[in-house]
Amino acid sequence: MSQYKPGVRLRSAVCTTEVVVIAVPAGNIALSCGGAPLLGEGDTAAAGVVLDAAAAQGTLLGKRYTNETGKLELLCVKPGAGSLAAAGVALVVKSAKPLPSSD
Amino acid sequence: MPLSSHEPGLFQTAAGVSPPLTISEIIALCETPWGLDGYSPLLEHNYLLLDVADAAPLAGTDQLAAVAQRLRQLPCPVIAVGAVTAPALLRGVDVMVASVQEAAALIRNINKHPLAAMTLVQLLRHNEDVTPEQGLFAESLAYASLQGGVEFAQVRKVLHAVRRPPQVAQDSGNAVLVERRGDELHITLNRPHARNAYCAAMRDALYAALQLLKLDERLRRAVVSGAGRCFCVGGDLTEFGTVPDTSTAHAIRASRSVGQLLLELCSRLEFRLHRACVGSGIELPAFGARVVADSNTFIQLPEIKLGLLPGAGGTVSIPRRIGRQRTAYLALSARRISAAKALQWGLIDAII
Repeated sequence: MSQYKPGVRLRSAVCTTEVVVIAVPAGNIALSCGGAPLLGEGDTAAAGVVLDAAAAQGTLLGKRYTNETGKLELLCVKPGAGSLAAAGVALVVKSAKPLPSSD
Repeated sequence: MPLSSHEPGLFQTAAGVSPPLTISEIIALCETPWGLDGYSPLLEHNYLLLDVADAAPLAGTDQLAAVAQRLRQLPCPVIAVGAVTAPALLRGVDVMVASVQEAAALIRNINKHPLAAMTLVQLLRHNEDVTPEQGLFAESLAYASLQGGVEFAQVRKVLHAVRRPPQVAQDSGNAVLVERRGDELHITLNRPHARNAYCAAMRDALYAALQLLKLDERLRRAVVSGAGRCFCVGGDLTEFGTVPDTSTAHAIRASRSVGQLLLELCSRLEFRLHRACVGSGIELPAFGARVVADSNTFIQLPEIKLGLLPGAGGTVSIPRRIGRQRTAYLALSARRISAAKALQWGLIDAII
């Protein structure tokens, strides 16, 4: 459980995923990737931590990930094998609404 | 079937060759306020052919500057035959050609779509004097004006008649591929079966990829290339004429302005071109700080043939590289230029 600020860069402890925090609710929140807590700039991974097969759907470069309330938003700046979650609940991709052709 | 055919609308427009005017003749015509009124797509002349042979003795005079100022207001292209060196006169010249014969290719296109030709040169004059952001805004409005015009309406009928189903079905995966290699972002236009025609899905995906570049400052730069046989053949013709109205079209462009993002990020952008770079296929790359091209690359702005003008930021990005008059030459002639010519002009930075 940690508090995060927008603009902070976090990395996965178990895969190559990196995210930038775009928006985050106030207070403590448990952010994870591949089942392991996301690490901040100076953090090191706990010994023996491995990718949880139940959280291995992967992350996609450039996608924005959000929670149910929409108050949390992370941008994936490096993809990886793990999937992102907040308090154990998987985050979902938030896509910009497609617009039609302007021609 | 030709893509465009000229049908006189409400106004009978001039279709023949208007004789050249010398600077002295223009000075004489300017003695009355209505002397040049016939130079309009709605009146006698769709363009003004300028014979600059007598310009040299007038260089540096107020008279020459006054002529240029008057010409810059004309609602039609001003085509100078011969090289114009006096900066004051250049203000009033939209495009330069070496000979009357060379002008003929431009005149054919201008006579088919005189409203598009007028709007194009007016926009390029405007964009020369404003910020790039203001230029992009003006371009979208100018484009909207032509989208709603009689010339594009004629073309659209033909486009509807020849419309084929989108080729996208043969292409799989995302319209744009984005890959991170260290501190570089590699962006690949990925509609090879459609020769990377710039469609709405590609625009949205490119917009998102550029937003990633903008947000992540650890990305030193992005390299943009095209999958398949060519870089990009320009706007997807299967989408032309699909927008419900021209004010919505403008709103769409303003809401997903790839040009605006390219402008902001230009110092971190490299484009790698090969084969066809048509319409948006050169308008977007021209924003980049570095543009390299395969020796087989060719470049073309064909919009005049559709009764339109370059509408993907090209009236801002291309003049930044080659100036207003050469941009007008590309856009009015609709001619292909080679990689070698593009390099000579500075439209690209290197042939690889």
